Amino acid sequence: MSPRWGMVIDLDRCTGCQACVVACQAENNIPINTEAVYLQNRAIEWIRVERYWDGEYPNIKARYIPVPCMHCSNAPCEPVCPVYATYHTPEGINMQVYNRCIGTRYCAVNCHWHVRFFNFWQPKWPESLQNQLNPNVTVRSRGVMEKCTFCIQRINHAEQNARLDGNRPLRDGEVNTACAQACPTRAIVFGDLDDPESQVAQIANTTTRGYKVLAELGTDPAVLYLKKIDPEAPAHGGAESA
Amino acid sequence: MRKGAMRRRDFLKLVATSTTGAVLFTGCGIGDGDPEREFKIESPVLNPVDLVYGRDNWYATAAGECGLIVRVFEGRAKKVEGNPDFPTNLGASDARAQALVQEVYHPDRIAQPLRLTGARGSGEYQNASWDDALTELGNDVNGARGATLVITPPLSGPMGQVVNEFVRAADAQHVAYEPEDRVVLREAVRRVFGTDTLPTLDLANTNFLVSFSADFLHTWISPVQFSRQYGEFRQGREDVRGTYWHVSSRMDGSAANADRWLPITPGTEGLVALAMAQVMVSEGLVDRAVAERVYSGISLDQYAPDAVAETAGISAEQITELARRFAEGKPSVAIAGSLAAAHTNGLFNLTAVFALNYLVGSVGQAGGIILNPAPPFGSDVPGPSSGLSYTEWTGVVNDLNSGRYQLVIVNGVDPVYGLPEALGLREALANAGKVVALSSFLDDTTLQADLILPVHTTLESWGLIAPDPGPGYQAVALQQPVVNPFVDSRAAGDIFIEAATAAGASMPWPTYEDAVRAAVDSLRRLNRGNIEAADAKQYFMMAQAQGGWWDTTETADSAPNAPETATAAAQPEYAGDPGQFPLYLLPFPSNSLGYGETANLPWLQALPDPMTSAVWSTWVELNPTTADRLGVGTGDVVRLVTPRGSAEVPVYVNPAAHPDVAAVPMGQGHTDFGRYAKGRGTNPLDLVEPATESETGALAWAGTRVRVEATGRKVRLPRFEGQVPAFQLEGAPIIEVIPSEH
Amino acid sequence: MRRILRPVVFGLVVLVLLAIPVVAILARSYFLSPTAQPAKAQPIAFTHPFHVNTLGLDCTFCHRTASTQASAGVPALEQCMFCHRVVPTTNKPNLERLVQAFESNTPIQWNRVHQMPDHVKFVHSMHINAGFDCATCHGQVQQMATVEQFRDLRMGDCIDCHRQNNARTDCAVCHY
Repeated sequence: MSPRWGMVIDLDRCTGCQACVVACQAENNIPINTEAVYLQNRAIEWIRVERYWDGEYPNIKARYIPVPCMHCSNAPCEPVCPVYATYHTPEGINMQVYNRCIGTRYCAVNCHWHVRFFNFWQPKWPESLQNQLNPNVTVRSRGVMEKCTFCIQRINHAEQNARLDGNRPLRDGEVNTACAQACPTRAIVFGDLDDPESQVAQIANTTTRGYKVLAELGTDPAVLYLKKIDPEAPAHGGAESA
Repeated sequence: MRKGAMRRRDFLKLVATSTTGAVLFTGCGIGDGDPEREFKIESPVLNPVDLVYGRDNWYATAAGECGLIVRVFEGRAKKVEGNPDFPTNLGASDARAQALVQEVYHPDRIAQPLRLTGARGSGEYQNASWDDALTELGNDVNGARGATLVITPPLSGPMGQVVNEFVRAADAQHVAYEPEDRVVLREAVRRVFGTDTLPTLDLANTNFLVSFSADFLHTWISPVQFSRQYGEFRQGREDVRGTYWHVSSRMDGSAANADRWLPITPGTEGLVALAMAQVMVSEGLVDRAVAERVYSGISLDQYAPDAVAETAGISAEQITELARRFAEGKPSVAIAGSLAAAHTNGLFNLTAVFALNYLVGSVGQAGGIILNPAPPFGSDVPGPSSGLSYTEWTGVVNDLNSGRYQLVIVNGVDPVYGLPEALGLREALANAGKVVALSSFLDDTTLQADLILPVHTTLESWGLIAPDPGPGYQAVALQQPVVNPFVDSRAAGDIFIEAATAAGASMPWPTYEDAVRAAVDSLRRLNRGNIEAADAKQYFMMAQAQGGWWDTTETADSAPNAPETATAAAQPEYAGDPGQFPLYLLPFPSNSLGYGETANLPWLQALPDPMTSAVWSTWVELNPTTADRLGVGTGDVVRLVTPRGSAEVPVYVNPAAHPDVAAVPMGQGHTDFGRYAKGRGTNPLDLVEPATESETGALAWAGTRVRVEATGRKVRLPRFEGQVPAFQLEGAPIIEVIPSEH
Repeated sequence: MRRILRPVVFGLVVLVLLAIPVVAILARSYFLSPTAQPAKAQPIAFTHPFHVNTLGLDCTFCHRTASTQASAGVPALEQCMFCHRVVPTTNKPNLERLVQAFESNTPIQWNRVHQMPDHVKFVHSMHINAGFDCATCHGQVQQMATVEQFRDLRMGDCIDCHRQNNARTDCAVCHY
């Protein structure tokens, strides 16, 4: 039985340190987000940490949420692609096939989470920094979309090893995404949602704090958030207070 | 046909040229670099020795307080992860550890020895050979006997040993540089807890945490270690969710995560702590005798919440509630640092806060402050030590200016950048006979050098580091090279050994690696710890594989002797007349760039600041009301004027900023430091008056007042905010918040 | 009639013009795709037949990582020199070129024979360990004086083989 990959992100643990962001950039050959890129609002961060202000001085909070691709089961980005460049793997990952992509950017328009990024330029690194590039990940060229892959290269590598090792199923913890591995507070947990023994499934199945961002769209994201706890949430803030 | 309307033929021509052009040009990949290379495949000349065929290699090493493992593929370092075995971080890492690989492959790394050809600071260098450079250094050392100054970070372990040997052989003077608030912190820990090592926390068991300006999740002493604990503090226990309050004059990345943030007037952390103690004692929540001992010489009754509330800028009720929750929420813990240490009364702030831990009995107890034992080194190996205070630096500068030093050797630090311009270290170095820099990058200090010797970066070096703070017991991280040096660099330790030998010392180790091996062997002879091995060789291999040595049973004395006490209460003093300079200038260490030491790495430059989401720049944070009064908004360039000087920076209107504060991040404003840092932003320390902390003499870098003047210019402040809005939509929150678990 | 005809002709002309670049692109990607690369002479005329047939070397003797890693590995010159230190090189221009490159510390730029399309990961180790012979894809290299591409190696070829062998045909198996 193939796994169903998923992620749980505990907002009560996240501190907004963004170790995940750099870990992802290091793992996935994401071009350097220069100052010019930020000024054009075109920074590529497969996982980003969004910060929202909540309240007014002095009763103000800054809230953080790490946002990778939600890998929706019913992904709005998929049906709009005229060339089938974005599709769902049997393991529940929303993948971008770079060779098919012709850069219409319809998928990015149709994604409510804004986690799809277009390569407006040929990515460039100084020659010496290219030594750091991960050989297991394609460097995307100009004109194609790219997005979080749940570190598919790590999954494929582990699956290959497991197949060579007597075709056994993957063990929990054998695959981890770069962001989850780096996270110092262990706010991000990645694993197989269909394996009841896996840590991610146990959290997802037992938590009382789970919610999915923009769940009302009915896309069934594979990323489950655990609500932030704040005994003193400003009552007038944008956040929901129960 | 009307004039000016497009004719059909024109239209066709246009369609044909534009579409065809666009598609063909895209398809042919014009502008895509060198397509020929795709059709080549290269046979290297040599099989690199660190290339083990078959798969990725993972090597354990260390940097700072973290044990790391590094993925190496075909001789190139690809990815840094936390070492899951190493006790301080247990597999966790942070953005700065992740970015270590960019240091190795940085395009502007110094690739070979350089000799100055122009004037000092001109940056005009010519290449030299290592043989010539080392001979030159040896001659210089011999010629400057008794007149040599060595500047390094505080060194412990074998590197400390090697430098000490050199200092003895060359009859040199050795001074250490570290951020000035760290100097105050070390002194406070010495006075209150009686240890030279910094303490750690046991947040996983803490119920109530109050931090006084210590940004412990992002920049304060060991953020990875504390972040790991913080996760457990919040959600690691079935029944308890730890409560965290933050008292500070600037909302930093840690305060943003606090359950409640109390914005105080800058420099009043100590006062609030005394008021808390007063409440706890007068309400009988804590033992009066303990309070009288740790606050001996301070009459607590003067510091009732009512008396300090106005000075501190928060209400008496808030202080009282904080005190009650601190006393009743045991185990509770109080920490202080960063900005709290950077005022003229910094030592008082820190000691007054740390002493609170004695009142609630959380020193050395589960859920409290855990003291660290001295590292397991022999008596000949230096342990943790402190950097110089600003006052001591003034002495060094005077000595330099008097021409006392013919040779200055700098390694691993950039004091010209890190100390305020007011000190005049840059000018003083010009009076040294010769300056030699052991450095990988052309930072501000290296730019003053006559001779530059490129050294290995962290991932290419040997080392043995006792993490400070450690995990609460003795632990040592073994740093080993995970890749061969990428350029023609040398180990700094080897250069010191060579120089010491040239000065006539007979060094016990031919190379620095041997010094590290000898130190590991001395650990073996302790006959305890995590490593079991038959012989010395196997022992060293095991230490390499595990990434270090630790002994969970060797903790610090859990019931320390009667501590020394908090220092006398003091008010912060500020340079600048309040009428002329109405705001407080609060520089603060940046989440990703720290005090500027990592500003050369593009990933960290591009990492949004946790509060403002700004990148690649320096900005000033102003409260919306303050900004309105000045008539400026985000992106407007303002002039920051202090008694020391002025600088122009763009504004970020920060809804969480204290109305009386202008906060500016440290980290930018390097003269060179490679293409990613060069000429970028402003160093706020250049605006700081050289006020010092009253007891330690350390620089009070938050002790200057500032006037903010609009310039009328506007720039776009590069930041992440804008790709997502600053506030969530009412009624459709992205982040859902609940008041409690149930 | 003319009223209808003119717009139709006009439309057709536009369509044809628009089609030209598309056809050009398709033609380019077809003719320049891997199989269309002509066999090029290599900087050193290394002979597989001699090393394999006469000396009896196994493929993995030089392509060391074929069974353990994604890339099969092109040997370093040092590896050639392990043997060619003792094998006399005089009057053999190819060997002299090798020694000269080794001694002058110049890497050799071979012309790539098997040109994969972009954005594809082919993992040698998976295929070797699944029991396939190198010759399945590379042909009888031991009989080729100059190595040429043996199979089509475009996606259809890969997919056919994957289907025949019950391997996954999910895009993300190769494209990531």
